Amino acid sequence: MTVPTTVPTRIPGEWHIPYQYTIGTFATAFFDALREQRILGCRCAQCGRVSVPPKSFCEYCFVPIDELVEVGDTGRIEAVTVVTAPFAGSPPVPYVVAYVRLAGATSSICNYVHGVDLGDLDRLPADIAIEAPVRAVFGDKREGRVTDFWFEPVRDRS
Amino acid sequence: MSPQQPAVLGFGQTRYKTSRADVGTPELIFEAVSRALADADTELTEIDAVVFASAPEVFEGVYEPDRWCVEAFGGVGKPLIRVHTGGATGGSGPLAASRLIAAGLYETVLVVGLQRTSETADAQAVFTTIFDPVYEQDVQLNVITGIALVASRQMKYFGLTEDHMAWVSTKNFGNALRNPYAHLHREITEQEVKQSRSLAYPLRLLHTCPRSDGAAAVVMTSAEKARGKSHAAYVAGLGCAADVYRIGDRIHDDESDFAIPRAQAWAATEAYQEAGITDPRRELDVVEVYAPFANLEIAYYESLGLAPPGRGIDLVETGATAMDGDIPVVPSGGCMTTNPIGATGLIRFGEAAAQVMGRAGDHQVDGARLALATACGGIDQFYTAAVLAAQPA
Ligand SMILES: [Zn+2]
Repeated sequence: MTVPTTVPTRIPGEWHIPYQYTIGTFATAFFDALREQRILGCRCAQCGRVSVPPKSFCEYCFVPIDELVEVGDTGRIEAVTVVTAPFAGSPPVPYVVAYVRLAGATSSICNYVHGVDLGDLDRLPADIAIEAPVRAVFGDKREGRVTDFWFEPVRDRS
Repeated sequence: MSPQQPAVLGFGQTRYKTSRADVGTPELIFEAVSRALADADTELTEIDAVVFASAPEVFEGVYEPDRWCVEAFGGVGKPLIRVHTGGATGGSGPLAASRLIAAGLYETVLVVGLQRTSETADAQAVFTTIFDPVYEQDVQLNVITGIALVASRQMKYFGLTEDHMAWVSTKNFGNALRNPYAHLHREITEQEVKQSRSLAYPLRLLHTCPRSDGAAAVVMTSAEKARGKSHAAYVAGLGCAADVYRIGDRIHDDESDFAIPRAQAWAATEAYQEAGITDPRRELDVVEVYAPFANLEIAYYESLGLAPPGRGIDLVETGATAMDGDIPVVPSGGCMTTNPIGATGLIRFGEAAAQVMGRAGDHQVDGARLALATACGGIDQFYTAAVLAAQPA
């Protein structure tokens, strides 16, 4: 008997594997501070870099880090996009994601940017352009996750 | 480079489609491997070891696909090495094989690349799982948003416009029309690119790549053994490099900018040094760059030393990287028209080898003697570069 040339069928499958991720004491300190509306970084004693969020070692100097520092709640956008096509698990579109270098930090942290008029999606709104100032804003319900805060454009300087 | 210079004897690839519904996953591999062995005029019994390159197996939905596919790549009874560096996997595979051959550990090595992206409905949901669950997954990053972030800096600081991206897309789709294996065979205009659906500013659908099912395979051996064969390409130089994990740690510093991926430059520099290349723009005849997005191709012109930092757009404006330019980039159409992720880097390597062997068919660059192939993975984190030459060192 020859093999039929009809399109073969598919068999359904799914992966459902729950995890509990161990985050370590530095990330725990970072999330505890978020509950108190503070953003923590770490300072490498050898090179002075202030990394946000904090980590327990410096990849440049390859030495342990033991100092946590609080950074400012304002900063400047360093990379930005407006997501317009939804995917599984994404928030409703359009939404803004940006990397922001907070005052006192030498690295950037990623989060959503709210409070932006996204009426014209053919160009990037000026208040979320790279180098635009933003402020971290905390929600009322804080659960020790990075989404306890978001960024909003700083307008009161203009 | 070394006493045992590695060489490429043959390249085999499957037809690429959104869904290769006609074949199961091992069958897909068998198709590529049997073609590579035929192209290399090599029997399976001559293969001393197999390097299996496949990227996140969440796509296949079967953990350890190397178990499932071992018979399909002829791996039974042979040493098997699995390589995984995300999207760069297909570039790391031939790099590993080359080093094994150069070290004299195995003479003839089969490299197999696989990915089937059609088995799950949402590729970007798979990609969110490659971000750390502590700080980054909650913000729902994925590959498209990650590359859009790169584009935002290219536009702000390095002169990138929608016009440049539209030109790259149109060039690559046009090149794919001459490649019978390419997934997308579709003539597009710059106007269509600019009017295609917005995904994540400034990226549009026609700046990106398809999801492809497919496999590729390459047969490699020592230069000594290659001399007895009717055709071969010679590995003149190799490089690879990893960058830091967090995007926020590499957006810019005194020496680098996220918009000109530095780890690609590190990998290329190593490969050029090994190959004795000092002026890649003039010395290379053709480049098969792993750039799944139009803006990234322009960024890599700079990382790869084909243009000075911030001047990648000049190669667009002068048409230098078109098929009829002085340094054609992705004559095959590249990953913007075919992207079976873990196999994609191996396709770049196989295409570069085919170019210097003069066996690239309708998309052959006339007289190509020196070709560069790259691969990129893990949101601009892992990179490889390989220089293929028509003649042994
Ligand atoms: Zn340090």
